[in-house]
Amino acid sequence: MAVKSIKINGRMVSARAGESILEAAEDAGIHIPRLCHVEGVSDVAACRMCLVKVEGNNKFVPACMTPVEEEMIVETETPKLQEYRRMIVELLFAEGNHVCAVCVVNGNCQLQDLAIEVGMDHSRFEYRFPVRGVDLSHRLFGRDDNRCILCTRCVRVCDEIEGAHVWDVAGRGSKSRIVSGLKEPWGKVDACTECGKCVESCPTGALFFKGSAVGEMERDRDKLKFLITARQKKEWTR
Amino acid sequence: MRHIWQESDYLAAFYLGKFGSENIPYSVEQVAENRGIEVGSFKRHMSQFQNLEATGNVDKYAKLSVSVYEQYKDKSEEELRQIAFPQLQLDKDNGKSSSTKEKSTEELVTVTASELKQEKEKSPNTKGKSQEVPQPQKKLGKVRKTIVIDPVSRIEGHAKISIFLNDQGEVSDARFHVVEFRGFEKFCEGRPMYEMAGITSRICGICPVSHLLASAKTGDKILAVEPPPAAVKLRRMMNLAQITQSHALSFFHLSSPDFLLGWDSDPATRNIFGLIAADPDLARSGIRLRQFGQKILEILGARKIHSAWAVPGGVRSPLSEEGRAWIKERLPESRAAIDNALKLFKSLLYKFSDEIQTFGQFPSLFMGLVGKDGVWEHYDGHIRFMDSHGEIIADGLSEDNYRDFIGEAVEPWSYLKFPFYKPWGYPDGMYRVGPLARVNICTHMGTEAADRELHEFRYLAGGVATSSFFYHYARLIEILAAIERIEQLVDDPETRSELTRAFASINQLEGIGVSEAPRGTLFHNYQVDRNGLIKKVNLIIATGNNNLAMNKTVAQIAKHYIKGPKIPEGLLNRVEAGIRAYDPCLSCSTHAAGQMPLHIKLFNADDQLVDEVRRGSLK
Repeated sequence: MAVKSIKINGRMVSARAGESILEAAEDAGIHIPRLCHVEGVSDVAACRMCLVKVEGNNKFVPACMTPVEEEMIVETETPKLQEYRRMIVELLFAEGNHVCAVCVVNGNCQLQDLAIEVGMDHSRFEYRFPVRGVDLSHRLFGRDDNRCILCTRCVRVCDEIEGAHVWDVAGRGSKSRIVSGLKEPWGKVDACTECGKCVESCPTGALFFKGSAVGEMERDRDKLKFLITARQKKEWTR
Repeated sequence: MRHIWQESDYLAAFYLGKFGSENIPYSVEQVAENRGIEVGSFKRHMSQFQNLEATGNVDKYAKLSVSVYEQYKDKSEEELRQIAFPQLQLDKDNGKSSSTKEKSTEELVTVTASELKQEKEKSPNTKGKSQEVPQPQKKLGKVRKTIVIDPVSRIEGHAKISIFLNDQGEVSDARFHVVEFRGFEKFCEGRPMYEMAGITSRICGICPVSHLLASAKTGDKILAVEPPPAAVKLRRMMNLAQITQSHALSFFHLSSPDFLLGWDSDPATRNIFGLIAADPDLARSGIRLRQFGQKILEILGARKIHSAWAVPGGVRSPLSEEGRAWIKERLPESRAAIDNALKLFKSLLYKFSDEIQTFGQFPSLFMGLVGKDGVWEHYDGHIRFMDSHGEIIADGLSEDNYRDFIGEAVEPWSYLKFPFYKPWGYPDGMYRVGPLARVNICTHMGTEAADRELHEFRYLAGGVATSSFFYHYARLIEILAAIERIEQLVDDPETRSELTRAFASINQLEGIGVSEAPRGTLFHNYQVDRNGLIKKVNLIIATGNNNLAMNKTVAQIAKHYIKGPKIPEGLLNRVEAGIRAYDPCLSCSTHAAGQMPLHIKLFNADDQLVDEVRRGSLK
């Protein structure tokens, strides 16, 4: 296997050919903030949190979608990148209705963790307070569009791992929404196998176990990773 | 909202289309906005009139435009101006400057007392307790002055008081205005029912537990489950801790400075800090007593305020072993603190005969929960109404039928609703809730020391206590009862059972839950759809139940103490203390954050502001 040598934040890092900058950095123990990336399924660079600076390129590139190249020089923590990341998180908060205090995942939320990581203490953008609904039609799970950040993890996990393709994105721009089936109530979608992988993959409280009270919803974040390794490497124990 | 065009609007558009805005003190845009007309629409009407003027073709236009045009087309600029903007002439007569373009047309004719009040309220100088505000000469030729108590201090929430004088300068009426608005009943719509306990506990930082429990109980009904016995005991324990901490706050931190330092003492030190300086041991014991209650809340719910521990169907976790040990260790100290406070209060009671006679001393109904055999109750049981002679008016009522016996009236001057006992009508069905009501309606407290104190209370109050001043006394007895009951619960092995939660899906589309908050009976009522999404929420908050009585109390104190247009500070403090006796929690009851600012306004018989006092500005 070809090995590429790249430099991340001044450190020499060796990476496999075809690997993304994000994976190479992860292997080298360099953390790049991310939100839509979930191990085991394809990347879409939807959240733009993992933007990095690559020397010679006058645009920032998403680390999850950019393959490593020989002698690439990558910066992950320039002041401008930090500013952009914070701004992205602020915009996510301003776009939906994220009320941590009464959210089912308060304390277990990746968006909340990221806000803390990027040092967001308030949003400089005006909250939009969109009118969005909650779907509790499923027997086991619930979906709250107010908390959805359109990372599309659920879409990819359902399609690529479970193979059911219950989820998709409908609408355009700020009116984009995750929909189940052909925009039917979740409980009416026959394709759903009730496996719960989407719920496990959701970074926020948008997908939750029905009946969860405030701050009660916890996820098994390693479950998906386990399924992937189980399949690929035939390791059936955790 | 779409504007419905009146003849006066056509006249204004006609005038402005024909002569422009040079001779009037407003721009076209201002005129349109003041009338609530979209500027574009107004300008279109102006050009219609210009076309009419130019072509004389009347077929194309609305009948009213044409009739206005026909009627006024021959008028001169000045004549038409006076017809279209009659207020300009009035203002001229009143000596008002008409050169300013800041004021709107409508505003200029209707600058009223209320507007001047608002301007006064906006002024940054709110430090002075009693300020005289020079008022411009009004049309009627009367000179007005203003007194305001704003904010009402040492209560939870934001309110102001208005006092109305008759022609002789005596108090004729007084009103307690709650001026904050929360809106929980509305924005909870569409949320999953399971989240309601966590959301509604956010209504209040003082008594989150009360909402948590009432909401969880409502949830039990919607799930149609009976929570496991351990859950009921644990919920009870939490409510007792809540009653202890809230009552300790009300008595020691907020009200005792009045009793111990004096009603007329310097307002700068008439607070918990003054109390610490004057009687450090008492202040410390009060603060630690509150801490005791708060810590139990934390032990059970993982956080002192706003825990989401109680859920539909039960509670999330049992009492931990360490928690139990901590409670047991602190019980004796808490018991000693409340015993001392009771002793002190009783020794001071004789000094307060004047206050007892005026702080809400009137007959009214009392409402609250009672348990089996009429025992004092705070969580379950049934609702009882008693009158001031000790007669039980209604008993064995269930919260499920609350609409049959509680009506809710609304007044335009307060965000707080006015609940009343329905069979007696509004406002005769005035009732009081909270510590005084609970202690009045119960036959016994159910624990030994508290029963002794109840006996003495009834002796000192002469049977049913009808003065709201006794709220303080009742509060102390309730703390004692709560501590005694916590003593019993902490040794109950069931409180450490793992079976604390019943699971179920939506089995009923409506649920009504009740619990006794420290301030009184609290109802939550939710309607949900088949999936458990909230369709409608109605909350009847403890403080709201006391709204009629608080208004009556303010009027009674004002009538007794306020004579003439000037209000001495110490008397104002009594007006406030009358409110404080109820320990109102206004942020709860109207569903704004902040401390309790009091604002008292004094009106004369013509509804004009005579004096105004504000207090406790926190900025």
